[in-house]
Amino acid sequence: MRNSFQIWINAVCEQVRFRPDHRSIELELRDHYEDHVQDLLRLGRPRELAEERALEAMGNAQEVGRALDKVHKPWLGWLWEVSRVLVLALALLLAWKLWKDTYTVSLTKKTWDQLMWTSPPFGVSYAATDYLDLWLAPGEPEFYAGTYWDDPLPGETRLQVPLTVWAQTEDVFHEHLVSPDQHWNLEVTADGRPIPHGSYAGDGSTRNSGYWVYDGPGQYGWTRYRFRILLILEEPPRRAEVTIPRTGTVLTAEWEGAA
Amino acid sequence: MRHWSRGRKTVRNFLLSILLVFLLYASQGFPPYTVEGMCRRVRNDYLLGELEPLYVQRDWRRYSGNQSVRYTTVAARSGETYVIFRYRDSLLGSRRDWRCPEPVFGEGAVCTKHEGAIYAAGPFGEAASAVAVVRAQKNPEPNGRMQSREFTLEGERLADQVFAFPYEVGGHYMEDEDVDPADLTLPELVDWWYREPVPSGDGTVYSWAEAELPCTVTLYGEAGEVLETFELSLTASDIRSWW
Repeated sequence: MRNSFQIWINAVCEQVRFRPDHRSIELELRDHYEDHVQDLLRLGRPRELAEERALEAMGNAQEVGRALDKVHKPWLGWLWEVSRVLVLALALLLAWKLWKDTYTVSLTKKTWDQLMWTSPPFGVSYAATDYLDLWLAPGEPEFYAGTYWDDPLPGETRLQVPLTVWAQTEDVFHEHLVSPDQHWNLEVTADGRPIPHGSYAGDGSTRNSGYWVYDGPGQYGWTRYRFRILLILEEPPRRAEVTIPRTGTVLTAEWEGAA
Repeated sequence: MRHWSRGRKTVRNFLLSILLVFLLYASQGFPPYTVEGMCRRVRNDYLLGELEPLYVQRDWRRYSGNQSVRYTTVAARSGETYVIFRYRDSLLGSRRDWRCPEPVFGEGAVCTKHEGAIYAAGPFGEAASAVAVVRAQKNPEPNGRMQSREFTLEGERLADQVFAFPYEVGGHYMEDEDVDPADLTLPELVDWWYREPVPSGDGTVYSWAEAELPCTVTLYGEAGEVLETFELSLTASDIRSWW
């Protein structure tokens, strides 16, 4: 009788065109069949009779097969298989990228910085380019403590004066907004005097003044950025100007009551 | 657990795939896939106006380990500003090529070197032909003697506003200072003349000065008359680099 059931199952599966489902169909039908056999055995029927009745109750193999074929449509079956493989492959690729690829940006950090971006205070200098809105605010001068690149000199008397820049755009198709000193060729002046980029001169000596674009407590979101420009000066400034020559954009910072 | 039909699960998986593709794209920093996308990226990063692509070149380069990489070199203009930049292409989008990550800008015209040729972009539409003259100059010797050599390179038109000036690359690393400069190719001469022994080294270790080499591009008309001359420049490290 078990062979009869296998013949019946095979006849059902022959009607189902989506072959990858044959195994699960067989398991499901077998469960039904065996449950029925068990019920009949509990009612006291001999095993052979129970199996014969259970098989009869399963119905005509061709009809059952055709009905199952309508449910297990090949196009839907293959689409389902493809979708499973696709999700798995993409998930693995993303995991690998996030784990291994040095180019991969930190999704969480960028998203966090985007959401936690603090707006510029009211009244600070503002300018707009075709692509960016920019704000500049002056910070308090303090004794020079060194940057990540440039250490204080022995007997240091210079000041460091932070300028905070906020930049906001409307799309995410950019890459280097975080390196404005290199890509925008910023021109910085303090009280009309040009301040060169960096405080190392070309011959390796240290200049008395310079500016650094300093990430410090920066925020680098998807469309919102905040970073610092650190002026290294001998005296506290009254007014500083940051110019982006390519766009003619000028931002100013002024200190009230400075000498 | 709620039982979903195969159709619904398929729809769910495709929606999940779209989300994963977006996350993958975002994790790469929304890289460009098209030349227009690359131009847009450069325009945004460098705060330029609208960039119009003038010439696009795709190169395949084979590296060790049978790895092939495709590069896209683009010459474009934004008003009077000309720019040449290069991206490295991959399935997950193109990235600025790490070997020349900074686009080269020029007002009125621009030139840069790329794999055995100088590429110049500018208002060259009227020209029937073009010639570039690159001048290499050795640092003055203690006796005040100056040595220089000019390389005259014939232009090949690549696009309406772009010419390439191929030059001989050679492969000779200079160790013998008695060699005649006239026998050397442009990269060999630059390699030799623009190097200096590292002060702390034993005389065999060199560094190369960040010098600029004048590159004069002259445009000629149909009758061979000079139409215009552009004074451009290249850096010694550009010429020396093998890419």
